[in-house]
Amino acid sequence: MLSFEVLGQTIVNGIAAASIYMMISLGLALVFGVMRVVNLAQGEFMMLAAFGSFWLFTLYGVDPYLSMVAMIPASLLLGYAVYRLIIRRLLGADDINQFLATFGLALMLQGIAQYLWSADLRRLPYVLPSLEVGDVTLAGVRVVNIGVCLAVLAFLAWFLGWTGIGRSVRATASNRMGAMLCGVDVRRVDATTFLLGTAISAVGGTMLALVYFVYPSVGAGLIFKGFAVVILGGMGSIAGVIVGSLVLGITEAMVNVYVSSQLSALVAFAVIFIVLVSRPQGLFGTAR
Amino acid sequence: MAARTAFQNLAGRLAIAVGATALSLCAHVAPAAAADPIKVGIVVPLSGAQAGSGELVLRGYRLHIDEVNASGGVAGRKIELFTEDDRADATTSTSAVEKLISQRGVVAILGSYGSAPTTTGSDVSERHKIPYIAAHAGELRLHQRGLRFFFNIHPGGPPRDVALATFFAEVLKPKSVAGLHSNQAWSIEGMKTLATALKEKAGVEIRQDEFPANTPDMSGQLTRIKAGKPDLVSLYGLDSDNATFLRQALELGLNPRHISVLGDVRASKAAAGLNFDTVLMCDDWFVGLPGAENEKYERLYRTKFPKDTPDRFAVKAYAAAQVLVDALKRARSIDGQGVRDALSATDIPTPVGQAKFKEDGQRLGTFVVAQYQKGAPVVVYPESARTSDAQLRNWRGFR
Amino acid sequence: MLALDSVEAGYGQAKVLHGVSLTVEPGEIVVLLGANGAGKTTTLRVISGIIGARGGVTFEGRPLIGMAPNRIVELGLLQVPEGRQLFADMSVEDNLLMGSHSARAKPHRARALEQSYALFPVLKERRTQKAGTLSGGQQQMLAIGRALMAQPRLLLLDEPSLGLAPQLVTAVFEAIRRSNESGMAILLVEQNANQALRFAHRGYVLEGGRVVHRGSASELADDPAVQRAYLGLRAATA
Repeated sequence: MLSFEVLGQTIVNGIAAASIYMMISLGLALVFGVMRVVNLAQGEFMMLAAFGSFWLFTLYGVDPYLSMVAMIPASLLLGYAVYRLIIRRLLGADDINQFLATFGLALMLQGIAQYLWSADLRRLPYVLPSLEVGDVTLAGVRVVNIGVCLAVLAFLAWFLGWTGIGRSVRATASNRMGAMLCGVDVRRVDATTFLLGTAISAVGGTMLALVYFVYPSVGAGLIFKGFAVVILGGMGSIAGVIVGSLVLGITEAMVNVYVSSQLSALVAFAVIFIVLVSRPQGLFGTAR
Repeated sequence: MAARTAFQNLAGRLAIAVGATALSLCAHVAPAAAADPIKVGIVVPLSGAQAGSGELVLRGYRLHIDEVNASGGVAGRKIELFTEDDRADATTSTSAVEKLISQRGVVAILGSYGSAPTTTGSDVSERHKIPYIAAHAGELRLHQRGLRFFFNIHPGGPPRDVALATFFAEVLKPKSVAGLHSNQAWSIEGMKTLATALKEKAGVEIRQDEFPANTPDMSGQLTRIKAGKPDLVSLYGLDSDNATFLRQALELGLNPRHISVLGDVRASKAAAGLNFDTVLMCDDWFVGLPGAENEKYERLYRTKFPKDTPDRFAVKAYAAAQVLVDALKRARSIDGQGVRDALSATDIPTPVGQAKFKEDGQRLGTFVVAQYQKGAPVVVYPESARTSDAQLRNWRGFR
Repeated sequence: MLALDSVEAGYGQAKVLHGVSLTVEPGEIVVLLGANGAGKTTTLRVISGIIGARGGVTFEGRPLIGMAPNRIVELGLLQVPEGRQLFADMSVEDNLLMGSHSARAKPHRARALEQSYALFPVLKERRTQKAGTLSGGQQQMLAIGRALMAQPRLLLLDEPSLGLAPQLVTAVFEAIRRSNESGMAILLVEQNANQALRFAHRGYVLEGGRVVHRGSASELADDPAVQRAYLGLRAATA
């Protein structure tokens, strides 16, 4: 059983899962990093984009990679409304109020989706040919998902590292008061960051629709993995999100194949527990 | 397959509501029947996660009862239905059944969806000595409680597992078999029975693997199975699990010679867009199952619901209603004991096969193996029900 | 240039300033003295728009109260805050570039960067290093350099000498003097009253959120009450 092809296949499966985890965790980490707000509704942005791509394909035959792009402006509209109505008011609020507000939003979006489209499990019936590399089979859509994920990461690296607004985002995340004193309009940075997170999660939603089920509470299941990732990587750290996603995705896949599929569902719990007990600032976080 | 939009769903519900109102109006306008109606209770999930299945079950019950009432009822007495929503929840089901019996005074209960609410609901009706007829409850322990007023259309797992093992041994003759089952009790029990029977009949072991029911991702299990290069994979899971399995088998290049699943692989919305040809399926009923009773049922169903395909939820409920009506006709007295005695002597044809109950209240069922051929299921086993030969070639996957 | 008129401010229920009035004229160095909790830092926060206040705050005749901090920066009013408020996980150069974030500073970014490096050569050596890894003195230089990047017309400095070795204090004050010589007005909050009064033109003494003494630097240095309260205190703890 411990053959090379099983190992290779398992790692590829893990990376494919990690690419989805990254999409939700990046949104969580960006928003938390800049605003110190934990957005429990991040997964619902993903769910709505997943449904968007699903229906565009099912009803009008729109290629999901096209609708992935179309979901970005749609998610920005929704994200801006949510930012104005809810998130903006949570800055500096108690943790419990933040949780209640964003959790309420999550439940509301799930409820709307369930009312409109029922709780049925659906799949976006779109396939690409698989690739064979040696004895490892690479599912087409998963390979493209990994590619999309790399593209998102490259965009994010460029945006944060090479643009003025990106530098302001990093500065605001690093020291909000310092950024204000440098003349940064931190509220604009907040909105930009929130919308960036929303757009990334929307792209992730289409990726999700291509490999998972689409159903109203799909985001709620994923947000938990997102938490495991950002806790593992250190709240608010982008590099931490990348490594955390890979560690979680590959560990889950390994446990699934070599230990037990029942235990693989517990990996995320175990990660959260171990990190919080042994290194609360995460792998990449610095103690604040 | 055209997707049903939310609007169509809503329109469908409105239509049902309007139809139901119209029917009840007719009942009021018609001259009072010579005798009081016979009161029958229905407990089904109409809200919560199982509401969709519950509505189909209710549809099956009403399809037959409405038919009987339209042709004059039972010995001149109409059947009056009282419906309660139990959300497929064990506790809610208890109070729902209690209410139907104590307050409405029903003489029989047509049961819920799932083993948990059926267990508690039938306990209550047993205490009141009122028969409870289940259509969708498969767990073995339901019949190990020694109840006398409990009857079940579902034939249970073992006959299915043994039928499947016999089909594998006699027709497929596999050398290497992988079994993949969900983490639910019925699935674990079933796979165990299948493995024992196959070992006995063909001397082949099943390498078993487990996954969480409704999982979106089986890639780990499939990676492991692929490495074992089986020529038969037998899957015991829910409808959505069938869809996930096929999709990921394609993605990961897992292509065993034979794939066997439970139920109609097309049933899940998650299976949309897949080609099912050569996939083997085991159940006691399929769309288009040959036989006069089923042909009649499907005709009725399609007339009443022209947009929908007959499904296995409604059909078992329909059969349960048939069994009840037949017992009401034969009963010495229209009360709990009288109906119960008539039920235990049931022997009538239904769309899901002959209805005849064992001592423990479970129907003696027969299972068939069907295969998708050119986009439609055909029965390939057993000999007595066969409409076509099994095609023994690999699953082709995509169109 | 800057005028505060009967400013009242605080945090939540706790009122810290009870009517502070002061002015800074163009080209001046004004020092704000006072014990811990007297309201010095709060005064600077009000001016920068970080916290709200009642009363009058004007910069070149423009009212500042209610204006967003980033708009105040656009007017050329910069603060080097207490605790420096650097971007610890960003590079030295990124910190400096953040200083010229405002629209009025951005066109002069390249020249300003050169000037900052000329003023603090050690920052140029360490420009790719993370700001959080610098020593305390270097961090203070970076904080001042970052503020200077904004081409301020009035610079607010909150305890620039805090926690620095004496020779570094001298270097920091030297940098401030040079900036002032090129025309920049400075409002300095300092506990090191000896050094501050040597180098300022005028000063105010805050006590319990009120101005209790005011005058030229030499008047304050000679005032026996100020000597007792601040210069002596300083000497005793030094």
